[in-house]
Amino acid sequence: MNRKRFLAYLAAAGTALLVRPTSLLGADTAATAASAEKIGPLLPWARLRFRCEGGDDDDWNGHANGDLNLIEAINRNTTINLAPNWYVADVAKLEEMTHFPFIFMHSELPPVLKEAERSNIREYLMRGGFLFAEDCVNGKHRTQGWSGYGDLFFLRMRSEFARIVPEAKLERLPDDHPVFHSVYDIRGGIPHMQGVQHGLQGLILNGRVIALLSPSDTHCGWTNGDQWFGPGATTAALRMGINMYVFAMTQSG
Amino acid sequence: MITDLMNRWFSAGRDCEWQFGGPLAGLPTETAWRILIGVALVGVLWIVASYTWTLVRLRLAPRLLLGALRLALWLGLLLGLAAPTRVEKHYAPPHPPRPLAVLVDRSESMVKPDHRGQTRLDEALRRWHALAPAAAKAHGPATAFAFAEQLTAATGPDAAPANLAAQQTRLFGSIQEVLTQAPAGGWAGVVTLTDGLDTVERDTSEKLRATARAAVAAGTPLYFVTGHNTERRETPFFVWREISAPFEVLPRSSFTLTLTAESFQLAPRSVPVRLQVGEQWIPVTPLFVNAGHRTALWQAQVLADAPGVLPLVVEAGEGEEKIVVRTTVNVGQPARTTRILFYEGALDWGRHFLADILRRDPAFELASIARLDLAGRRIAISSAKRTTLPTVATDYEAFSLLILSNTTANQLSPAQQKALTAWVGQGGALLFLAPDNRAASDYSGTELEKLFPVVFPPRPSAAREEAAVTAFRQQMRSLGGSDNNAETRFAKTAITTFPLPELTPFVWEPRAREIFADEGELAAPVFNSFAQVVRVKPGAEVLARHPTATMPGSRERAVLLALQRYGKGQVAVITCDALWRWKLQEPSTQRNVELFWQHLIAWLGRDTQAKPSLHFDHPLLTSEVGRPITFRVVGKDAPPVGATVALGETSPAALDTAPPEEANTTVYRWTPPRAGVWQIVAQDTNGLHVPHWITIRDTPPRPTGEGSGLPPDEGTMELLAGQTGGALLGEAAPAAWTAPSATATPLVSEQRTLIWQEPLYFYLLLALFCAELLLRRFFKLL
Repeated sequence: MNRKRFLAYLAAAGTALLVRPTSLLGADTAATAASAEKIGPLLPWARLRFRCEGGDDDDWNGHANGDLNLIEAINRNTTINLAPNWYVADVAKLEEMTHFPFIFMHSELPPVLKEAERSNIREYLMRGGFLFAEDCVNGKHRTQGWSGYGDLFFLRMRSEFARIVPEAKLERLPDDHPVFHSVYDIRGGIPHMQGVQHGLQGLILNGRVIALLSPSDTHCGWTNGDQWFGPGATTAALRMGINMYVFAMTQSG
Repeated sequence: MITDLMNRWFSAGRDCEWQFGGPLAGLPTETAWRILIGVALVGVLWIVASYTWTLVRLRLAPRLLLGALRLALWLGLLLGLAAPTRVEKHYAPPHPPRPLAVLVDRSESMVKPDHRGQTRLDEALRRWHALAPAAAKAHGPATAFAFAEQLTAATGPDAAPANLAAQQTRLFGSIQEVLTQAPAGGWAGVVTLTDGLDTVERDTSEKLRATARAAVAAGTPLYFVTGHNTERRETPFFVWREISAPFEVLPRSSFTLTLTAESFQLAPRSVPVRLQVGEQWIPVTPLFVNAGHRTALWQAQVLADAPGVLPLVVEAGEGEEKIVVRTTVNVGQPARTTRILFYEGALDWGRHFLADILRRDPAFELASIARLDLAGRRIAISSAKRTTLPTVATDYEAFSLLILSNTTANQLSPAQQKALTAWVGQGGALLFLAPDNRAASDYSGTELEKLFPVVFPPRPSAAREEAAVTAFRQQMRSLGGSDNNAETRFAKTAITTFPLPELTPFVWEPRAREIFADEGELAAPVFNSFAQVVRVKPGAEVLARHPTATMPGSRERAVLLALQRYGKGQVAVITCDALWRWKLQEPSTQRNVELFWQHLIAWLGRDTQAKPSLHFDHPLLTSEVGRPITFRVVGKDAPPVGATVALGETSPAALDTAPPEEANTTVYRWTPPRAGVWQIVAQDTNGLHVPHWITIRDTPPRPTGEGSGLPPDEGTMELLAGQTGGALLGEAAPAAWTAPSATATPLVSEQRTLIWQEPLYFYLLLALFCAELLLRRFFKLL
């Protein structure tokens, strides 16, 4: 590379910085948010560990950094005091799941649950735990040329929820549902990052939402939304994440 | 040092500072500066070298100009990559200091010397001088008053105002007058040097209650320092002054029956007591009374069995001294709902699980307020009609119990704290779910601290972020936000890096069994973290302790659940997390968690929810033949319409009424004609009847007045001090004067602004770059 070309690249890079100055350093939407001193015991966040179709034991843990970004956004923007840790709860071990009031379940491939694991999820929900399951959309399939699918996780979990808590009802939450307005006023339903737009589904038992099922991959929005899905995606995804967490904590009824 | 200089140049003092972001985030400031300066120097050398040996020979001036431009660009880029962040902190205003008032009794009984030439005032002053340094350190200079029959200002506790003659003692009136002369913010406390003998008032018990109410309303604890001499009275006596039993209790539950006795004894003695519950006499402990003029409490645990009206009879003393006290307790399911206000200073999962439990029980009604403080803005999520706690005590009357969860002292204004304290003092119930150690320590020295049965320690340092997470996040930032391989590696190691939070079980104290269950094994709640306390206050009851951890500087196990009476109210403190982990650990078919909360809440709210609609207001339990008595009867739902009095099987006689003082309250007058246990029955317009029994004796009147030689009334002083959160002081200063107050001003919010986000900054760098390119072209370097 000669000096002229180097300088040309440098000039181009400078221009790019001017166009999107924050994105090169990683979107830090909460950078200007005020954060009060945290109060109370640390609350744990956990990811659910489970197997996926094809014996895949490595699809449940994608983009741990997205979870940590949401934890940071929750801590910065609300009075909630989440531990900046990333715990793992195995779906095969109820005694692990019951350490966490809110568990995040996420993968690209369809989950494969054994009967005992279904029973564990059911017992966890019956005890008052809250599950947020989200489709990471068919990234692995897409890379293998299986385009055309975008909701394998979502469709599998929809049928699984019907087996896990048959007395509950899984239904699409309307745009005026409190989950979209618990903290931020989010219009038009869940911000859709990618996949098939089925809308955010709530598993409702005795008038209370005990689990959420999302097809929209907001988690990838928490991870790197602005770069992957366009400007503003990170903020929209984080806001939806905050809304869901606060809603799970505070829902009435 | 460099950071200090930068802070000094660019910040507005202690509320603002600069920190590094980007790749330097998380590094110690000095290290970050060294890296930055090192890289800058390397760049400077490179710039010097590049303009020393150019393709075209340049004169000195263009060389210096181009070098300066590139240097500015280089330093600017470095500064941007270092991402300095302006951190602006906002602190809550400090609590305004409140002074102490010192009130010196200079009545005849205090200044009259005994045969040794010693006065009670001499000893009281000696004690006060020992306590004064601690008081001055905690509250600054005290304001002095002196009183006998009149109150007057004094230049100091030792100074005897010239206009004050040694006369009768107007104790309660003087304290109330001092309370009305409080400066803005109120007194931190009123310390009275006295022998506790009010020789002006005929009905001292009513005056005592009024003084306690005034002090509680003003949020001012009353302290007493007394002095003795050898003056004493010759005739001993013993009377019951007050009986306290719940109006309504649950079947198969237990409750506490409390009687307050007043006595004068020449030597310590034991007064035999008998208790009849329903038809059965049950064994109870006698009442031990010390020598001198005392107020003593006698308590017994009573088991309520089947629904119905449970009559209670307490007999104390023998022969002519015998006094009979009767009352009744309704046993049954409360018809009213326990209304709970749940206030969360910071969101936690405790309310989620508790609300789920209570919504399935129609006996409870939960309204909640949760502070969310979105991005520093003070907003709340509320299911109640309000979004903040009340600032007047009467606004709490809609609730039986307030649960204060995850709340710091600085989230509650002085007015809110005062209202809450007053409400509890008047009979409200508070369950305090302590936040973490750091936040709990901020209650030290506040209005609310006196409500708690425990004392929280000074503020510890803040916890640090988990190192493994910090390292991972740094790596992700440097990689642009995500990297599948690195994230998968982190996820796999996280399973061992972050072991499951440890759970610890409660260890119950025997007293807990009376509240939570009367049979069977008590289930042990489990928790993960708890806030330390340094000690339990005298009179408080500990129900549960930590199995292994001890209190700082003590061998006693750490406290997890403690109770305390405050005035007429009740306060419970749970120091651990809100037990949501216990709910998750219990199989969904078991109800241990539900039973725990239902019992605790019902027990705490039992007094406030079970106020009878028609009741006698603090009626006398004993009196003497020929002495006029008044009874105040309060009708909550309907006004009282009459009252009768009868002895045994005699025909009831109607009582005379006095002019009404308040709506729905009627005052009845009666002069007992002869000795015996008399029954008074009041009735309201709805036809509801309520009985009260009074023992009338032929006891000769006690000597009164300044020259009576009565010893100091420590019992009354203890009672009054206890009802207001104060104490009868001995040689040691109270905890409120010695507990270290929060050294740091509470941080309310923190605003971070990245300089990298200022577009002007990038335009400036681009301008520098373009200028250098153009000049290089001009000087034929391009």
